[in-house]
Amino acid sequence: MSRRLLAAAFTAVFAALPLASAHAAEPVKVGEINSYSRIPAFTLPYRNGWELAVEQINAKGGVLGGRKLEIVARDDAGTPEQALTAANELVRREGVVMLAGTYLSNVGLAVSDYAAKRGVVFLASEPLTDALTWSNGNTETFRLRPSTYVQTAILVREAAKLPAKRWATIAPNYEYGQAAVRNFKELLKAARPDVEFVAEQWPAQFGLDAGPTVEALEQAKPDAIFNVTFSSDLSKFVREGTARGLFKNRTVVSLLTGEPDYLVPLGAETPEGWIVTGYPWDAIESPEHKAYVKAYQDKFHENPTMGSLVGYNMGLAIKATLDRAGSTKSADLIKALEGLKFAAPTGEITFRASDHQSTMGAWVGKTALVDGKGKMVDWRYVDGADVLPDAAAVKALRPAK
Amino acid sequence: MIAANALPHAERMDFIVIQALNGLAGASSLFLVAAGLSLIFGVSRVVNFAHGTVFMVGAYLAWTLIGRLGVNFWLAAPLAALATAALGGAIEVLVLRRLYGRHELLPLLATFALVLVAHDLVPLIWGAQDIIGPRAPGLTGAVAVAGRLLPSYDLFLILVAPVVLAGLWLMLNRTRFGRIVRAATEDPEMAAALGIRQDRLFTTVFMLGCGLAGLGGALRLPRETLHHSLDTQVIVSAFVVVVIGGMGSLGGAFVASAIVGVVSAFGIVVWPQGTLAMLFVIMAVVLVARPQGLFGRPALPGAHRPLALPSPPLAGYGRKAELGVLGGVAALGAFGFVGSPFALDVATQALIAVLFAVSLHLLIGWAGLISFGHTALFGLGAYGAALLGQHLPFGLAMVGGVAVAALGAAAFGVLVRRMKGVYLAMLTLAFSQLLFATAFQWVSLTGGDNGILGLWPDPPWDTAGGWYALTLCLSVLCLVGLAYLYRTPFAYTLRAAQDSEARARADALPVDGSRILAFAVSGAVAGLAGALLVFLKGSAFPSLFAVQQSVDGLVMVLLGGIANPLGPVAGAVAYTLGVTVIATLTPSWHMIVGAAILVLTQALPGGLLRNRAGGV
Amino acid sequence: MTGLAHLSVRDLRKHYDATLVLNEIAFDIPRGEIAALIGPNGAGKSTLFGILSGALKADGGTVLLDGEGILGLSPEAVARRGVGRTFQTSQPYRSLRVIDSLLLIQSGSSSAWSRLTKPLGRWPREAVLAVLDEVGLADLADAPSAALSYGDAKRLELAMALARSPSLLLMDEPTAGMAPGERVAFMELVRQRSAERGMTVLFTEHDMATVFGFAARVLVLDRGRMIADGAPETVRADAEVRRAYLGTATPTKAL
Repeated sequence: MSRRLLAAAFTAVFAALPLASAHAAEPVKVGEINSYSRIPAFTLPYRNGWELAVEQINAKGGVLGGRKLEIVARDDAGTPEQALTAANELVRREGVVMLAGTYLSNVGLAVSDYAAKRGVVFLASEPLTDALTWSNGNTETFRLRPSTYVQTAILVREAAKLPAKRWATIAPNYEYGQAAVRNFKELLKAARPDVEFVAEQWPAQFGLDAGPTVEALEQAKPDAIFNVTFSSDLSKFVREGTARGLFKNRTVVSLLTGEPDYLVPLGAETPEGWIVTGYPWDAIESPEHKAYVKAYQDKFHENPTMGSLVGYNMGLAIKATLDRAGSTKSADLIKALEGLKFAAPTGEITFRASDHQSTMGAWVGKTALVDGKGKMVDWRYVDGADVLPDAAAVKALRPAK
Repeated sequence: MIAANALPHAERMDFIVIQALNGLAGASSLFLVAAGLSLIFGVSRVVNFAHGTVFMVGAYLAWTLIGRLGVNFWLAAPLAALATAALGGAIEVLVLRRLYGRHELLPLLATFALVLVAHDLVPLIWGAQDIIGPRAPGLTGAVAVAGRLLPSYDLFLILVAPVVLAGLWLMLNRTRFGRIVRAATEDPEMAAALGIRQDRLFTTVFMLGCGLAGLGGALRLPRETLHHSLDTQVIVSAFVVVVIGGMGSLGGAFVASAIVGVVSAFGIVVWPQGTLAMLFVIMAVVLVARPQGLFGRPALPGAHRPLALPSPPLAGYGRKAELGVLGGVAALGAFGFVGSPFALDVATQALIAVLFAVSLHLLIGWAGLISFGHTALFGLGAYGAALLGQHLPFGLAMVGGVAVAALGAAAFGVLVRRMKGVYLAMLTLAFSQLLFATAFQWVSLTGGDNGILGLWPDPPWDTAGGWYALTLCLSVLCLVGLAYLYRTPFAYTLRAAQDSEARARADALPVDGSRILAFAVSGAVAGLAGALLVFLKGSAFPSLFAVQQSVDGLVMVLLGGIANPLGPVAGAVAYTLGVTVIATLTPSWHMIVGAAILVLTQALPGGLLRNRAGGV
Repeated sequence: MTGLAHLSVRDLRKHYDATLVLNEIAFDIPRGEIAALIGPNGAGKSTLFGILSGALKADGGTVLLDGEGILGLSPEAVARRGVGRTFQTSQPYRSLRVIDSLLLIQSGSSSAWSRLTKPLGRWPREAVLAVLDEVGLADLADAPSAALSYGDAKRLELAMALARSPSLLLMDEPTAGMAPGERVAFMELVRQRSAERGMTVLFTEHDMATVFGFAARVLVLDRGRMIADGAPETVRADAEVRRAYLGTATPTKAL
């Protein structure tokens, strides 16, 4: 009986897979892959962001002369393997015209490599690794969010102004953390030859054992600390570090901590005076941004996060690309994306032709506790274009074609 | 580390004291989880994979009580423990009860399904955002110890573990229930013969164990940030602690958790990059020196339940079945010409899963060697092929990958040839985790977590149809080869040694040699699967070595039916296609897959295919 | 001294924790002799068997088989030297058929290559069938081992031990649980094989009728010591043996 059952299941499943790839139907389909089940805290607001953008775009007549834009999303469960399966399914079964998304660096790189192999455009929204647009850069891959390099370089400018000479670092033990610390060390050493790095901690991602780690940092008696941990690791680090007096009379320079995705959960425990990159969503006064925030709050009844903004901008970038290309052919899309300018709620963003990196920037400022909630104060926006290396420097970083 | 050495002696001593206390504080809630896991295993021989999930649910429940209902932390923690105990009772009665007396891994499969369900259900109930745990009233400050500040709650935690241990010891040694539990741990058959109501005992012990896990979760709140993948970290650490201490030994779990806590606390000072590997280095060192763990007994009576063994493929089916198989292969071949590229890719992936599952089945089903780290061999083949593939044509690289996996497996087989049961399983887990850490950390060779990219085969194999054809040919070759091998004295020796190892040795059968060879063959097949996957996906990543991959393999084998040689084939195909299809429909696919496995373990506990040619 | 003995044991010692289980055990068994090893429960019989067959490690002493030391060898190595064994509780290969169990054992002496490449079904069956015939299981050759009755399982174990034509057969309580008639037939089988091929037999047994009916020699163990060694009549009359047996709750009816 069970054999027959299995045979039936087998047949049913294969019947469900169409035997020929689907042709581009009425809506323009874009494939989107992200770690929805692995890192929902960031990716669900991100999903809201692009859903809002798609809704607005389609309400205003869609893309390519009246066709609807449809984003077909898949979960990658946080692994490159699953992401590649999804990419393949989107390209070959759904017949999407381009790929977008991804959060983790290694997942982004895997999809980028796949995109190059299949000649499909990949608009990476969130992965931060520098390799994506530099050492592993390829013709098909573009990136929206400011890279590790940009974020770190912005922070180094502030760090170099500090009197601190003895630095300690703490970063999650994977590519993002490693690259951030490497960038930070190199850039800070260049700006301040007198600094030294006296301790480093590499907790496993989302597995920080905060007590001993804080103590190990304290033991090295640094003047200042560079933090790359985020999410649950960050919260634990903050709580233990505060309780044990690690942050007393020390400056902490911290990547992404000002993003509401990570700042909001800290609540009343938000440490004061950390120099961070982030997104002061409720303090940006431009009418475009205010309109975006209102639309977001109306639709989802919650406040936008960094993920929301990236998702929203990605939706806008896709529309701008399609409009400029006037077709869905990969070659046209690539040509359209190189040098593409589009208006985001936070200002104009350009995809540089030299390294396919967007000029979306980051806000740098200080953390503060206001009414029991974490906030970014004294912030300013740094455009990516001001920090990114110029076209000639970038050319040396990218593999020869 | 450099800075630590430069410090004056007194300050260094202070640091050692404080770091040891930090390690013990971290060990405390780990002990509660491990103690529960160990108790449950001791009495019912169930490896409760969902124990970390129960821990996590305990923490979330306590947070709900405190944050939503305004209950005081000190009341909320025991309430959460009671609630998780009740949850444990429900799990035992509804999910596990019907699975006893069948294959010892079946409860593991069922509890793994619960983990999958919880993975998607927890964010639905408690939201996706991280939640900072509330602090414990009265213990929010820090006290000065050895010239440093130690959170007072950490001091409380350090005291909790010995108090709970003492309580459990009194219960086990001074009460009737305790005596029953000990009797059942030492000799289940004797306990049954003494007229102990086994069902009630199992339920009670499972509730107790889950209550401890829930308490551990609740007590961890003041120093934890809640998120939905807390469970996987905890379960792996708890397994390691239980194994280091000795399965079924509470004192062992206590000592082991302290060792793990303290060694890790100092480890991050000396070797900050070693956070991924530390736990498993400790476990491997202990197990190699003392295979039964620090306080475990060499052989646990009743640990190896009677089970149906596979018999040679198609034995008892006759000509018709062979023709059927031939027809099936021909159909699969024809599919290569008509299938869409996507369907072909999915089929290729299913074939690779078949090879992986079959290689695991060789160890588990035929040789009775349980592996929780089978993906080590898969990953060795993949990385071997990937590393060579950067310099050599893909065909040679694949041969190299297969050789690396086979040799690695044989070497591992030599190391563990006398180990069995759960200890062997845990050593395989340690082996795969060490390889994971190596692939992750040795960036100059492996590219770290960014992996190795750009590994595409040469034409004409670089199309969906091309790679499918190659995979199909190699898979059929492997399966035919294995089907042949399963009829030889080599495979019969593996089965005989499972039936009675003492008898097999007294009959001069080469038991050890056969097991090592089984590892090597399994390694070659798993390695081939890994190498095929690398060139299908064009890349290799450390996640090839992830625990999840090994668990997937176990699920396929158990789902398909361990006593049938075609079981792993059926299981791999069903699981791969099921996950692929469901994952395209919803991001909550973990929950649906988990629910499906739960239903299947209850409806078809023997797997999709059972043993046709007799067997127990 | 050991020139004539097939099995020669000297100074054999073994202890578990603080308990001495075997104390200075020494005896010789000439080739072709059938000897019984008796003693109350806990006397150390099973431990001695375990050590002789390589399954347990001794703390000291020597065990010579045809003048060559076998102490410390693995059970497989001891078996390859011509020692066959049956267990107290019979342990057939439950997942195998009767014929396959024997074919498998027979294949053990062939090259590794042929064991890997030649399916079990193609190995010659004549010798194996002869052994099955000898123990009276020829009709059950194709039956699953797990389906055999208690007595048949014991016969199968004997057949498995005989399949490699051992020169020394160790049997741990071979007839326990059998009906009296069955016992005689079973031991008669062993005696015949021993007479025909000069096979040496050492067996433990609680049933005294079997011991005195078949053994040419009786060794008596008590609490780890060898308290008597000689012809059945001598042992039966030995005062120390009587004391050892009467001092325990073990059945002594036949003594």
